[in-house]
Amino acid sequence: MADRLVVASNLTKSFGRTRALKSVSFALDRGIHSLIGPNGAGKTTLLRILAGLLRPNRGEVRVLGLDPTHEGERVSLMRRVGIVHENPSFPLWATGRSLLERAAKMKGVSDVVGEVKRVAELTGCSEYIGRKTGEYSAGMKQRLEIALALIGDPELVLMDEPTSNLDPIGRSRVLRLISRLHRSSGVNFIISTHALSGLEPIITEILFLREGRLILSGRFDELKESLGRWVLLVSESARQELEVGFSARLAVSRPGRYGVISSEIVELLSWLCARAERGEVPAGVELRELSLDELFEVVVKGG
Amino acid sequence: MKGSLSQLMWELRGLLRFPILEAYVAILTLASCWHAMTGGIRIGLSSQVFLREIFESSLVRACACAALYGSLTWGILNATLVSSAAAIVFARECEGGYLRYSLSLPLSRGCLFGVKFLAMSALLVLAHLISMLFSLLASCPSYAPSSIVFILRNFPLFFAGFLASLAVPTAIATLVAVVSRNSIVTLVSTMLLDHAIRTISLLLAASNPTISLLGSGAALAAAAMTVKPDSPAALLFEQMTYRSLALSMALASPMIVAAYSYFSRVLEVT
Repeated sequence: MADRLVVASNLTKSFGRTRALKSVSFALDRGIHSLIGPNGAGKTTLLRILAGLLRPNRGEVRVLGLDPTHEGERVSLMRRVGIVHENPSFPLWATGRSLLERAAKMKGVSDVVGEVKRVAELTGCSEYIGRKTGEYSAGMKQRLEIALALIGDPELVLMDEPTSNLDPIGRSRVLRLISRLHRSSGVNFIISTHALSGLEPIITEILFLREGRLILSGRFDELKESLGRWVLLVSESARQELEVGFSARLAVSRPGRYGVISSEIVELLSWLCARAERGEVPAGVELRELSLDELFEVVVKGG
Repeated sequence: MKGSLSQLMWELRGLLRFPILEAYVAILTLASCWHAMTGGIRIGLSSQVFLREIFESSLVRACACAALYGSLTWGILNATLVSSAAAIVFARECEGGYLRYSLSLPLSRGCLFGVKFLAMSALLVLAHLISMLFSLLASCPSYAPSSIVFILRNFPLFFAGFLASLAVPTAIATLVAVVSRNSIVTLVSTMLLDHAIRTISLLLAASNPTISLLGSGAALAAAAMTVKPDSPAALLFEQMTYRSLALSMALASPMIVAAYSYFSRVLEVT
């Protein structure tokens, strides 16, 4: 159990009458994991419980073998975990450098100056960490927040919407950084986000929350397999033709769009090839792999 | 221990860099609060002395005193609201970036809130001292020379009473801070408890000068008791009472607006 990244059982959390989490149980091994779900699904609540910032009303949780709800263990855990909060904000009078240095000291880093330089370069905030945080843009704050989370080589980084304030270049830079840190230093990540595109190549497992319940979890590949790995998009003109020839075996997620599971892909391709040989390829047919965005849509809409 | 000390130093450094506008609002708010209270004391004391002269019936005197103490309490409540607004502004500032940042570090909640509260108490003491001086200077002409001499002669007692009056709510609110782990609850509790205890001690001060020695209004109450009811100082006393209340209201209104507008802005940011 201590080897596992996170083990949670029956986590329940209420805010007044609102039940944010309802008996959520899961276990995660080391890797890069994504916490996804529509607004109000309980992602941030779950992440905050894992970080020890909230205490569940019921249930148990272990992160890196430690109990974040126990104050002493939470302090130990914070030496090994980095946190990226949603919409980061800092004391306005402090400079980015002073915050990074303070975090490095508190985490027991021996070479504070070197560590601050390292994380600032990794996240691209070297140029402005000498300025007060009150002068930062949202994107600059976000990068500083990520730098803070990476101080002291954490074993696990919990990220709540880590790229929400970044431009596309900044976003892909962060995703590349996550992937590189996992490969080179073995840093594990749990990322809660709505911005799913670009995550597919790097994530190991997905936890899908909806209305406070964990409705789907597993490796991305396995989930794609069970939900229909391939998506067939057809134009209106090709739709009738396709429906006559093949549609009985396809799950329609919306008009003109079909989900195809892997076992059927060979049969479908054979059928399309046979049509092509006869010069009867339906125009406007596109076959591609299910993306994380599409998986999200399929699960949310129950398609 | 080392972590706590480092946190306290960092916190105090942060307070020194506390934006000047917020510090100004906080100090003026407390000055207004103090001013309203001293005005309240004077209403209570001078009127009681006055009522003693007029009404022989203890029942009538008690009813009249109750009405006067009602207005005194209203003044204090008003001041409490203003100072609570300033406290909330400060708490929001802390809550926004400070707590998230600090709780992401290996620092226990108890240590964080204990230190936070110590630093907040330091700010309160400083602000109270400044506001007290402001209040004394502003209302100096209303005291008879003998009263001023009394205050200066008994300054250690006055200061001890002031610190004692802060120590009790600070201790209670520290407990609230650790248990609630919420800076708004902590700060508002501090202010409310502080004012609750002051209100009780002021009422005691107004009704019984002996008991008042245990309260925060000890020196002011004693000073007020040295003024003879029929002296010119007593008339000036009453005039200044109304002036000080008017000044408190005039100071409080823009501060409520300023505190509210800043409060809204901070809410949007966080």
